[in-house]
Amino acid sequence: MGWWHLRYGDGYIETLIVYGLVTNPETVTNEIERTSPDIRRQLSGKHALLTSESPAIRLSSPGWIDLNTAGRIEINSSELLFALTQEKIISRISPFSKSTRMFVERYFEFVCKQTNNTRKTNPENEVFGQKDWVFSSWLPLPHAQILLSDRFDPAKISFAEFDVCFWTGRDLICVQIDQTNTMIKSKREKINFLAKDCPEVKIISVPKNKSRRLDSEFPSDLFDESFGKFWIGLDLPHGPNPPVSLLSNID
Amino acid sequence: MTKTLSKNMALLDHNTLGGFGGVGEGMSLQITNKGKRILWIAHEGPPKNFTGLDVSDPKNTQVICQTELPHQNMRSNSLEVTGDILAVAYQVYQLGLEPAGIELFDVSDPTNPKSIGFHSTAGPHSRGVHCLWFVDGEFVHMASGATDLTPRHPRDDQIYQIIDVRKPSKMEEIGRWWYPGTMEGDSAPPPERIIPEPLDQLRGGDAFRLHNSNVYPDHPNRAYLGYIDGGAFILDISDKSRPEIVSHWSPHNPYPGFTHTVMPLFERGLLIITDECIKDDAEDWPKLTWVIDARNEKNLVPISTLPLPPVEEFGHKGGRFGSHNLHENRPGPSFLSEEIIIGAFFNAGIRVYNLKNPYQPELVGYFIPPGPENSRVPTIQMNEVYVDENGIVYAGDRWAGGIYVMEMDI
Repeated sequence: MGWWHLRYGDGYIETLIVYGLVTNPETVTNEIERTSPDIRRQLSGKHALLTSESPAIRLSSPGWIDLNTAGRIEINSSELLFALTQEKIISRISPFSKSTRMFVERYFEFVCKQTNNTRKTNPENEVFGQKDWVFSSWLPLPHAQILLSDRFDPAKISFAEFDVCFWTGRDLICVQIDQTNTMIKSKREKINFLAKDCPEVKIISVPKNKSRRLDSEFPSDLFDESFGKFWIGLDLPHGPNPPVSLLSNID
Repeated sequence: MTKTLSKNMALLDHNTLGGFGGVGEGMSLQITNKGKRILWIAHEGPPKNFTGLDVSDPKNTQVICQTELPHQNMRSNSLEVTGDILAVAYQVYQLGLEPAGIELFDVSDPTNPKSIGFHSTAGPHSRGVHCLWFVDGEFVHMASGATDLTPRHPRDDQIYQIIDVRKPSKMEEIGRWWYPGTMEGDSAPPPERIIPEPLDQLRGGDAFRLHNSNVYPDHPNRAYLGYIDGGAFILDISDKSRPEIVSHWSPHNPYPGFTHTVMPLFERGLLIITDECIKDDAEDWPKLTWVIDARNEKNLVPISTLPLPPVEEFGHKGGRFGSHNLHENRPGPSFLSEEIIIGAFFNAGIRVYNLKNPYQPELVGYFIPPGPENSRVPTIQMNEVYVDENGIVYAGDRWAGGIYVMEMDI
């Protein structure tokens, strides 16, 4: 049984999202299948495994960022860590996808602004500051390829493609950035299947007039208000790759 | 070849255009105010000027208009329609003949095109217009000789000209540019020839002249030129009266010449550049379609080519084998994509590529029908291609086959 036998529907989601600079998502699928379920990672630098029970995927979620020890030691401020986090995500965007890059860059500006401008009731303490809440924002998964159930095509593994995805723990937000491209039939059919089959999927299309302004403005009005309040439900923020002992006490 | 070879493409209709199935390099789609869809088609040579094909039902296309050229020593190889205005290029076979230039037609009644203006570029060293681009209703960008120019080499005659056509009865040249060194009086030295050919033939290669000039309304300050043996140019045309070079890239030599089309994929920072095959039996092989990294438009870097079938299989089937026209993402009722590239490759048919990974373009579809009856060669010679907003592909055979209407299943 392959991963493409997983099912959606009835409020339940279980799938694989391959993201980043992956030219053939089947290779990632095969890699995951070869890995024992005991040590299979839920989140890596090129995939996310989701069920409806999966926690939100945030910048602070463990597994996606590869920070070596030396690198972590040199990072002595939240600002530096955030800059590194941005760099790591942007490095996973194709150099030939200007609009996806701009969307993600503007998204990072948006979450910074949300963090700085929206006062939390929680007081700052010695360990965490206001600005650390930025790491609780949703992790953008660029060039996301979402595995479809085999009901789409029993004969072969199929993926629906989006420019960026976010998993908020409740919604799988799939972003299409309008580049005025005519969508080809196979791509359209896969997206339609996913949208119909999986109620957690929310497709957001950034129209041409907004995609043209991505050099200066994040289209936040296209998203629910909760999208910009990513800290809700969390007691404390933490950065990417936190010590395991810390993880057991948070999120 | 006796049967069609295809992958992910199905034939919907085939129309030989009333026996005048030689299709040139112009195909453009009009949607009339009555909702009719008319494909305007340029012819490779005389006696026909242009044909209007009603493609409202792509499975049952009908010729509704076919016009005659003024004489047999000319051709109207290229055309474009914007709204209800059709622009047609006139090129003569001997220097100095007329009419040479462009003619505009009102095709609001597509069964009865009415001439509304003519702009002459005839002259002692001009053969008029080979190719034109007209997508904004205001300016024609074209490859033409000029009344007042004397090329140093007879085949270097057609330069880049910008014509203001906002007043069809009084069209006016407002800008021009040519490869430095190709005109008498230039301070630059003449360019070194790539593959020298006899001087007594006007047609053909060994030419530093313009072929395609693509200017997109969303990026009106840039012109993308295929300058045959001169390679590809990006020009800054923010001042149309003084085009300036932004960058230049040429694979010639060592590759054989004839850069034909330079198509930008703006969002991705790529260019697709074709070198036209101009000789039968692979005599000028390889004629490639190049994928260029143009993220830095001043430093153009080739990163791949669109894969072609083996030369040993196609090179000697008859006719030409290699790159030519592309579907050019032009505005209008047109398929627009920066990932799917569709081209006409003569005897290798219509080929569809997925450029999602521009380092490794992937062939995802093709259509190669048998050689048409009454053709000069035994194979199909796909010369031109246009794809509408619904993904319906219209392709033209160079000599006799007329129009093939296909549906992509990709």
